[in-house]
Amino acid sequence: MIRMDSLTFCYSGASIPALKDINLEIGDGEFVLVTGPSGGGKSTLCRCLNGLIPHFHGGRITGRVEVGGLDVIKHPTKELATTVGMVFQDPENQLVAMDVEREIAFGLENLAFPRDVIAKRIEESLDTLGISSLRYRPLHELSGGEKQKVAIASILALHPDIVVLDEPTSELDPKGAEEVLSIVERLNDELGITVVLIEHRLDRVIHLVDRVIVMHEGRAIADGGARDIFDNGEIADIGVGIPPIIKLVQKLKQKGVSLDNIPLTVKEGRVMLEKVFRERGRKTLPQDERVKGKPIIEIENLWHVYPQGLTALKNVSLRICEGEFVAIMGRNASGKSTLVKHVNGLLKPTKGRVRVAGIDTREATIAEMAQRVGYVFQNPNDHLFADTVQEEVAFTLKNLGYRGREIASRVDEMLERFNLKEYSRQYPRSLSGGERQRVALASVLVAHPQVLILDEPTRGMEYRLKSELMQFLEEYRDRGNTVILVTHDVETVAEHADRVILLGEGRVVVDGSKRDVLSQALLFSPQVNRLVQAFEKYGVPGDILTADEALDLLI
Amino acid sequence: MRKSYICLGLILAICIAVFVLPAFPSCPLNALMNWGLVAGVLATLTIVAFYFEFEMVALSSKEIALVSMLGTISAVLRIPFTAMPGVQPCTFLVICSGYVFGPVAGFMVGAMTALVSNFFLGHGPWTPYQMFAWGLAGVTAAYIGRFNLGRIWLVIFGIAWGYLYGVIMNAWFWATFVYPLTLRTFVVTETNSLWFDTFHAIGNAIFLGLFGVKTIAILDRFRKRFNWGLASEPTGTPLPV
Amino acid sequence: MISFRYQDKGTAIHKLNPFCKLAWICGVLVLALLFDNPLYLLALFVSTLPLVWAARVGKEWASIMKLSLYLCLLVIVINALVSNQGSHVLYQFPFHIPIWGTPKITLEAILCGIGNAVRLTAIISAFAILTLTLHPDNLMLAMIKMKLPYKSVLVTSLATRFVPTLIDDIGTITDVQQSRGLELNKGGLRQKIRGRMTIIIPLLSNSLDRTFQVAEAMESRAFGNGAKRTFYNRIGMSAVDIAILAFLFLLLAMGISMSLLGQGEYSYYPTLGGMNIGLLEGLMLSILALLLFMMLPLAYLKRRIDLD
Repeated sequence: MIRMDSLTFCYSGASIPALKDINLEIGDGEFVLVTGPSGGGKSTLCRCLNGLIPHFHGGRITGRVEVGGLDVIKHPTKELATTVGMVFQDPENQLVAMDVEREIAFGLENLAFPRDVIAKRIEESLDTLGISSLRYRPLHELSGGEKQKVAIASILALHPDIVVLDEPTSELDPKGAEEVLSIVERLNDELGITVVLIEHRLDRVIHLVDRVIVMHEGRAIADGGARDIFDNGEIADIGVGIPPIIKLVQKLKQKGVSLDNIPLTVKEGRVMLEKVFRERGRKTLPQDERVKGKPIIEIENLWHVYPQGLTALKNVSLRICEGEFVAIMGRNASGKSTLVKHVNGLLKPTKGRVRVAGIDTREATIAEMAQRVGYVFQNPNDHLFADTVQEEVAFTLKNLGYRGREIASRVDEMLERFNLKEYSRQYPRSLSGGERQRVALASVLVAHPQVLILDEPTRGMEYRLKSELMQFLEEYRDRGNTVILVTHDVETVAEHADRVILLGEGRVVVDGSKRDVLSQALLFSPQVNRLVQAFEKYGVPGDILTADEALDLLI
Repeated sequence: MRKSYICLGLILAICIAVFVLPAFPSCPLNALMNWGLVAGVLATLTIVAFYFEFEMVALSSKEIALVSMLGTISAVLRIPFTAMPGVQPCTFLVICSGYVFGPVAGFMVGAMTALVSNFFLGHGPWTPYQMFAWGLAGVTAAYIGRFNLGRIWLVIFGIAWGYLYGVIMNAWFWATFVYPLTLRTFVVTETNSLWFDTFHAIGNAIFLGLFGVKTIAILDRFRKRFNWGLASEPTGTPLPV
Repeated sequence: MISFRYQDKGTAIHKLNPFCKLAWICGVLVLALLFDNPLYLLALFVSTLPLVWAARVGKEWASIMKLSLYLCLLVIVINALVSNQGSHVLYQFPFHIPIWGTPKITLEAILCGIGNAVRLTAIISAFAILTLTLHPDNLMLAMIKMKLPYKSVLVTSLATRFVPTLIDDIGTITDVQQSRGLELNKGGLRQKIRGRMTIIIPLLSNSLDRTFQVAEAMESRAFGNGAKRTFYNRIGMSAVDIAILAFLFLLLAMGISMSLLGQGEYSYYPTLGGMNIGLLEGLMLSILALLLFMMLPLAYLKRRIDLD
């Protein structure tokens, strides 16, 4: 049982409260999803549940929080540990021991359980999560998904009544995310643990939860069952990423199609929309053929073997043209990053040849390549070291040998384009997540590269920032440049890319237009395509990928 | 008695043991003592004493997480940055940590640097002395911090520690592997790494001169955000409600 | 990728109780510092070799020992240069330094250097075996059991745990900055350091952000609960372990008493001393050697018992 009575919290040093007058009641055994745009107070809310607020993060708190009969303000986090367990975003940062067994024991040792109890609890939680094979493995050898499972196991060992998970999947690949979420579902379903889950990828979880709370600007602006929440269109406006099927149904409703409910899964969608598609879905879509420019990246028979002996790329040949928007997809360790690192010369071919704009990467330094190929990494923080935004952007040009006025004018141009003018004298790390992403982009694009590579830029990114970024990338591409996107995010690819290259075990498995690759695929199909596949018998084109396309077809 | 006095006493004892006494062959103690052994035992005791001191002053998970993270960073900087001989970014980081977070944290960060990085580079008889040397760099840096001394002092301090580190490591080497222990052998042993130490000192000077103030600002910003509570700082956590 | 020197090879030596390993290293260290006789020191070095073989760490051991070559050379050169003593002058420098006198190289000084180099080799060899076979976590556990304060040991253990993470971070940040045109090995020292700092500063700031989360996670799992903490892992003490420890203490006692009796001493100056080993000394020496070699069969015995 969780109760919050007119809870208001303000971080020390902040002028605006992070939580404003929250009144909530969560019953035992409920599965609650907390969502909303970043900065809306999701994490703050959850940290109130186990006393990290106010005991760990100082600040001013008014109102009352009661968890399992304990007043959180009077009981510090360590006393609440057996009532509320907390799983954090980055699995790397919540593991403190060197191997799995010791990790699970850590909390129990702190609570001074005797040895035999600890042994039993370790056994139990390893089995519950199905990770007993990992027991003696060192943590740094595990994958992200496995680490997150260990984190959950270590919380579960304390036998909490409530488990709070703060975006547990945002650092994981789709497979890891799916595994973690199915475990979370089991915790709630089989063990009856109350689950509070923060997540912004709604398509993954929406069908699992009993209740959704939407946080925006410190308030809980919506609270109720998933179908009710999505019935009103307002929450899309504040930047919550609505799953494509729900979006489709919402739009259809707005256009006057009578549908009595909101589908939460593809299966529900098929049942609900069958009639609509049968009646209207016989149009053919205009084919969007883009004119390709001349080839800019030519990869011939590329092999790469890492010094440790791992063969990451096996005989890859590719040709990518100017003005293409290419998505590179594939499982973890399928060679995606290895491949794109060859394009800007971070890695050199073991065998074969890579040429960018006619230059063989083996004969150019990374710095020379940087003039032609920009590379944006997942975490913008890895880019930022300078004292001001301006210096940060100028650094790239200085490296490339530009001087004086040229630097100033180009930096100005970049700051202008990315709406960073007003921050030019600020410390980059004090900016918000979206602004930092823009600084990172600016610091790469200031060199005016013809090719831009982005490695997992949307992982863990909220919906609004994602669409902002994608809009920019399309603009950039329309100016005749090439975009290469390494990603797991099928929906983004379906909406924005032209061409998809699927890698597996270091080889190109499929290479073709996004319609050919993403439709009719099992794992790599976007939600709407999986829906449409069932209606091909009615003459509905099977290569529809996004909600907007489906809408065009139906209206 | 405060543990820090014990630490201070031990440090003094080591200095006398390895620097002063053996250099006077007429002192009767020399006949009885094995200076290599004595120096090793004393360095180890100092480290242990600081471990106990840290236990007393580290209040919560915050201090523990911070000191260990700084130790890791510093240790990691020792591992892949060996491209330039002698230049050690870890000394720079230890000094900045001590400057901002006080003597005990400074010592722990310095000691972690050596202990942890040697799990990767290889432990040896040098480990306790490296822990001792870097730890001491952290402790002394805290006093530069306490008096709020500026960039010039940081640079001088960095140069001094470039050489002092060498002096401590050589003194160990001398007391253990050189015979006889006289002033003359001491001087020659100390000069053997002069070239290396000069690079270390120059490296420190450049690191601290160009980036010392900036790094200290980063650490200080963090310290304020963190309500750092170690070593006689007023713990200004505003009370809830 | 840089990894721990320790690799679990599952041999009898790897499985040995950490206390035994620590006691052994102390034993070797003390003996190496007590004795001057090069024969004794050589014997000490030789006594470490079977352990290298038994732990199957020959290659790794050799790579660490390579580093010690430089130090050995240094020992020999310094000893040869600084000592004005010794009667067999091999070379006299043709100049005179005030106060110092005329530098010369004597046979005795060179041999003294070689003797000390052997001492160094023995010590480094023992430490190399320790690094290669003792899991850092077990070292921490032993430290806690030896009553070192828990929080301080936890700091050490946490710091070790985050090293692989931060090494990955450095790799990524280096890629990031190189993609922005940074050239790490260009220019003078000043420019190189500037380049390094563009990696160190993001690393520092990112890691400090991690600190928050680590501390939050620790709090959430009841760290600093106030109750006296228990420990799940423990260091099992079997009869064999106790036997090994007893042997090692015996070894130490032997060594110290021999040293007090004046055995194991050796003087290089003014002329090389003889190597006459008397009956008593010979007897004690053989007992010492026996004790030194006892560790291996006992380790195997322990492994055999564990497996049964």
